[in-house]
Amino acid sequence: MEPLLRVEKLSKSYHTRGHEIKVFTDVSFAVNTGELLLVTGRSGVGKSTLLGLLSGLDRASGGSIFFQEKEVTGLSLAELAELRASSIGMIFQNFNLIPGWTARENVEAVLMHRGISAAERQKRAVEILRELGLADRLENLPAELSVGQQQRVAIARTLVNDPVLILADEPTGDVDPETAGEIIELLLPRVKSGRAAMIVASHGLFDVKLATRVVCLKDGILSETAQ
Amino acid sequence: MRSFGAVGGYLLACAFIVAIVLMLQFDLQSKHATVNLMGARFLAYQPFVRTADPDAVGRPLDPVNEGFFTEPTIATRLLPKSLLEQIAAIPEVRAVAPFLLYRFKQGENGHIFSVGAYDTKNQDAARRALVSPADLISGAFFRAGDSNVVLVDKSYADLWDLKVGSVVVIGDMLYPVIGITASHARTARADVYMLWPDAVTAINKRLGRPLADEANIFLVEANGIEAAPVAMKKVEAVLQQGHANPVVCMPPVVKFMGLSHDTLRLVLAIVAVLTVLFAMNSQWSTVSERRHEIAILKAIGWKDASIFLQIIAESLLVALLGSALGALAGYVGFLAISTSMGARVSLAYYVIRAPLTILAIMLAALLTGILAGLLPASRAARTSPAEVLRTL
Repeated sequence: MEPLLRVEKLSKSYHTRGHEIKVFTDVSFAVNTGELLLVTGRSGVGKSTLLGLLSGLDRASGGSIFFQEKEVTGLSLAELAELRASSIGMIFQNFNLIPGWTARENVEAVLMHRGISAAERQKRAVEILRELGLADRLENLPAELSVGQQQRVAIARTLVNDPVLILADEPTGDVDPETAGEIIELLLPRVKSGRAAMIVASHGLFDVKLATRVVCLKDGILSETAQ
Repeated sequence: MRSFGAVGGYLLACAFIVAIVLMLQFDLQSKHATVNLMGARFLAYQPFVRTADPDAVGRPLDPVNEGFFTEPTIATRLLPKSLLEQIAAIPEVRAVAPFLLYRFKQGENGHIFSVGAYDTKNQDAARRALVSPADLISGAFFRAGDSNVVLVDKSYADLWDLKVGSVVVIGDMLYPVIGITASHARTARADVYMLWPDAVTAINKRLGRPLADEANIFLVEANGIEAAPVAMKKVEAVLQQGHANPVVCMPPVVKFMGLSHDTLRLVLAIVAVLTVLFAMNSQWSTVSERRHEIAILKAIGWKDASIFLQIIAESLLVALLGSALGALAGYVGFLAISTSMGARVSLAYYVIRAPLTILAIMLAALLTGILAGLLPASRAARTSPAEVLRTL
């Protein structure tokens, strides 16, 4: 079976005032559907940068990324945006909900500008929010929700499009252990049922026992660790 | 909150533009109406040089005291009425009428007075430039079938204590006065007005040769005040060495009107530029404040084009809302100001011209909204989500 995502010799560096700052080099790995890959490492080693490259938000300095056997490193910005909208779901550490939009509108945002009718968008957003226990919070702004509820809205936004790859950046980093457990309960079934793969970047707060594989990013090198 | 500010900005700008444009439009219309009442009309004639052939002025029997003239005391030649057709064919000319203005010496006491000939065939031009029923103070105006009756200017009537029913002596004939006309300023005026055939008969008795189909003055009405200077030049060319004299000081009036037009354009240009700058600044600030939001939208799959269109649409919506409210406020302001000033605005202006003007201003505001949104939208579309999200 071909992997859902294959990364080959990926590298990223920044140029600041004439100096090259290497984040990581020659990063290679593959992820299959149904797998949860945990990327660990200290803060600032480039875990978020790696997720940014995988999602197409950022451009790699070298190497290749293959998604469903198609190389995506050379895609245009519009094609990468389409890929994110159709197949990749992202969960951010600080939720990144739009403050002026209600919970429902935040979830609907993923479906906008994709030729989906307003009624269909609303139906799907409401369905997923109800599924995540937010039926009575549909029209609340993020500021009116608890931290856990905000994270559930963020997860609903990620799952509403039924992505095959979920990229989560410290999904349990800012929440209490109970809420962290709830988040895992919401996300894991998608992976375990073989509907999606998930890559989680965490500096240690994520339960490694939940991961299929664990890799560690240190000094710009990615290495597999034994669980 | 910033969007409310932007709507408020459009509202104020649009209200100001609508109110000022409607006021200036109304002001312009009023000026046009005022100056066109007389300013677009002028007299055309050919001055007579004393050394020229006396036949050109009909060989008056008493050339020292009598003769064809125009105000103030310019002796004029007789011109063939056939020139009327050439003058009427000038595009800038709306109407033209022949006029005879002859200075008589009264036989009994020797006073000098003027007689003007009213041509019933050219009533349209004659009534506006010369005398009309609206000028009547007492009595009646010329009616069909009238002959050997006269209208008398009030100043002349007061001087000689003439009333309706009195008679005036012209040559050796007595003419009953059927009406007294007001002495207010007109393009052409006379002490006594006679019907054309009667005037020709009376004047012929004082000439060495009878009048042919001639007039010594043409009363010309141009197509508006702006067209009048051109019409005057063209009429002078038709008359050959002719003169065209308006009653009002036409060049200053035309400049005055032009100044009003220019003021309107200048005010509009300044406000439009300020509105675009304000709207652009407002949209730019909005985009700056929403970088995080835009980055999130891009991260979840929005394309650059979608972000661009979203910002333009928002800019347009703000412009639409602000301009609609502003147009309403401006119109109400205009009505309040014009009413408080006692201005009488025509119904046609209220229901056609003003709404069309408001619509044009709103369309301009929407265009401004698009223009003002272009740069910020382009900036928003180029936002790097990775960079923005990394800095949070």
